[in-house]
Amino acid sequence: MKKLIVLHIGGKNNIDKILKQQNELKSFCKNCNSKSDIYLYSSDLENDLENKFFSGKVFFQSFKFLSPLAISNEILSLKEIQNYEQIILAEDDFCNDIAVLLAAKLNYKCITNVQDIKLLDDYNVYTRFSYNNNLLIDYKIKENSVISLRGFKSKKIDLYTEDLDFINLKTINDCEYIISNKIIQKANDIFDSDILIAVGMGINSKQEINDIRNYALSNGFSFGVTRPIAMRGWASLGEIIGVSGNIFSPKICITIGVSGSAAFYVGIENSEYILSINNDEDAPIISLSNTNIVNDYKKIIKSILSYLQNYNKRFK
Amino acid sequence: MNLLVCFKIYSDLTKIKLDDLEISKEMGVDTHFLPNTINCFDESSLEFAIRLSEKNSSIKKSALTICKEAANPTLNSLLALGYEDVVRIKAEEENLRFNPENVANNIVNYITLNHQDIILIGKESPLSNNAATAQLVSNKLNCPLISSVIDIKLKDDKSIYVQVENNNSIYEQEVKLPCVLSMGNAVITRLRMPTLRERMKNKSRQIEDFDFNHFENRIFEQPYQIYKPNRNRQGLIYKFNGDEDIEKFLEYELSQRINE
Repeated sequence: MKKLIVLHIGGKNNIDKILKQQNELKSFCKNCNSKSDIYLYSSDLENDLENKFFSGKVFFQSFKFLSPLAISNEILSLKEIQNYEQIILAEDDFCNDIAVLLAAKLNYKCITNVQDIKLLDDYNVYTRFSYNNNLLIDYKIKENSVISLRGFKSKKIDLYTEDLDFINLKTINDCEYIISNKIIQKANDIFDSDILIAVGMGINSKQEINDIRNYALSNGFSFGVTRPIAMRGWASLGEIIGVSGNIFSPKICITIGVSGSAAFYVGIENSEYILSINNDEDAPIISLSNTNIVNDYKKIIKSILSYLQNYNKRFK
Repeated sequence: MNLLVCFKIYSDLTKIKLDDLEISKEMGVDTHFLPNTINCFDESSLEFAIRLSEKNSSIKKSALTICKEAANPTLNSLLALGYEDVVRIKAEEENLRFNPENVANNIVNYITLNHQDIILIGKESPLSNNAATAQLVSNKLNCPLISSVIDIKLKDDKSIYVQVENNNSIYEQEVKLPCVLSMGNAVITRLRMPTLRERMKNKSRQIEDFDFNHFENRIFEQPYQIYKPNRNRQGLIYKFNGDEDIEKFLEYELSQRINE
């Protein structure tokens, strides 16, 4: 029996991220002694995808519109679908939707937002957060399953050199229930940088948020905000970090004025090192960080940003 | 046109320190002493429904929740805000926890008896964080699912315009009715408060109570164990006075990590 890995490719700029996900998940499958195929879907690319980076059997399908229902129906129509004992959906905005729809149709077990998978005897043990990301839950499952990932990190990643069998499936141009579809705002590139700067409600003004964002993006760093900052209208909803937004895995995460709620922390938990700047010594973020500077951020932010800027120049 | 908002009332876990959470043998956490709050995605849906009905008087809006009786204040507020029907399916938390199929089947039961053209459900909710209810309702009703909706505008009684967010891009779709909308990080985030006048005007109106039906979980399993994560890092604290100290600190703390 095999596993099917489902990946969403947003555009050509997205290819490095997808290849990282491919290698991560193929490594996981190999460690489980399972073969794996890939189902790759996109609404931004058609047959112009450079496929040489992929490995093994890859189904590629393009959609003229975005719909988890349509994508799940196309996956279900694969001739080989019953051969897959497990379907793994890489982290994406629609991965939970597609996972639940597939599991309901296939009558497979379903676990969403899976953070870790371990093998225990004949069982897969899936770990995920619950209680608003405060507690971890383990599920022990033997049966066929559909899982969607959130913040998953494979412990061992290999490079793959399986012979490529790239299958272009027909482009899906229309949909019974979507009468029209148009893009009205193209995403700003979310840089997958080694350095993430995250800001929270400790920042006093929208102008300061804008300044930090401009600084981060102009230096090629990732940038994000806590949910309350976006709710206040000081940042876009697409910049939210955490359970309702983006999940990052940088080498260094610098939080400024972030209290450290569980829902936010999920988005930076995979950081190798967290440096927090906060004037409240009792804020939850203090114990969740490697190092903290307890001071008014206004007194030290310039030094930190100019250090990172100089570093970036040296590095370039 | 009938519009149903399915929403979740839950104990606000941000009001407790993680160390104080006590996990029971039944994989639950005692939260009865915590104040109630509405799931943030559902709060957006409840406000959207009011705004849509203000623009189109033909919309009959209903709000449905599955919860304990203690949720009366929230439900009475919705009656005061002009919801034509406020429906409560009475259930204890242990019947809902890790049981998205049970929740979805009870919602489907209600919709089968009370036809809806637009069904709004938040994309995810505490406490289980399954992100599965909207999808299961869509599948059971065989009604299309539109996910990560952030804005809704009415077109006519056959279709609506929705804005959908995916990978930080925003798309506008015209969608045929009926449909299930899974509400994401919406442009409207807060539910308004009813005025005293609205409360007085609606004080005799009643919440509709329904019994909870138990269904077998088919695709979702019960947890094997539940525990607190160990998230603590070193938590070293530095306090600085001059720029010079900070530069030395940054060189010491960051340079090696960056160059690795």
